Amino acid sequence: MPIDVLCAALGDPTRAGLVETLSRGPASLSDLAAPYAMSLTAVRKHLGVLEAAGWVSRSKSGRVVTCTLNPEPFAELERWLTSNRAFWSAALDRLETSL
Amino acid sequence: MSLEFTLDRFYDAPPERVWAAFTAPALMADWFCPNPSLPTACTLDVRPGGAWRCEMGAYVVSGVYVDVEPVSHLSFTWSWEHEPDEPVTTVRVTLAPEGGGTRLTLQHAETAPGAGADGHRGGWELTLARLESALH
Repeated sequence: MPIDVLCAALGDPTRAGLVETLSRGPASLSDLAAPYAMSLTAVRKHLGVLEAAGWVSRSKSGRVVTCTLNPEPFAELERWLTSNRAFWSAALDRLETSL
Repeated sequence: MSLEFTLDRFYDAPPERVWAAFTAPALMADWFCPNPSLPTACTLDVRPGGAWRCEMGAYVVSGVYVDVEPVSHLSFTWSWEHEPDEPVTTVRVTLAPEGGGTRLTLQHAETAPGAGADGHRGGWELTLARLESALH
């Protein structure tokens, strides 16, 4: 998944909060929605964005929907952050102040 | 898929000073590491085939110079010592005078274009600033 798609999915406080909650373990849709003063439909929409970006997987068992955080996006972000591009971008910024 | 990227900067300093920043070990140690709190030391044998090495705290990156054309072109191989399995890459730095200052172009090519690479590595278009704002 392109880095900008991963980040755009997180660029919303509700979605960032959902990802943080799921980082502690899988949760049902209703448990996820509980802290938010918004409808189940609204939370479901946010989860849909996260799912489309690859952050979350949903599984259904009977009538219970369980959401799980996927590990790959974090690994991808970490990889990018420690990448050579990030290194050079920061180094070239420092070069400017040292000249 | 190629993991090549190019960065472009303008510096308000003549090309000779930017060249010196890349080729004098004491000057390079001043800016090379993105993390200013890591002690940085560089040894640079600036000639084609010469070795270079920079230590930034526990991180070491090193390589060999390929092209050395003062003051306009410097290229060198690049590999991180803690990632020996990663392909060796090539960095090409070009300096051009521009309006009293210097236009610096830095190209970092990780694999030959067309060569197979890990399918999950995406494009490198997002800037640090966008990532920052997306994560906060």
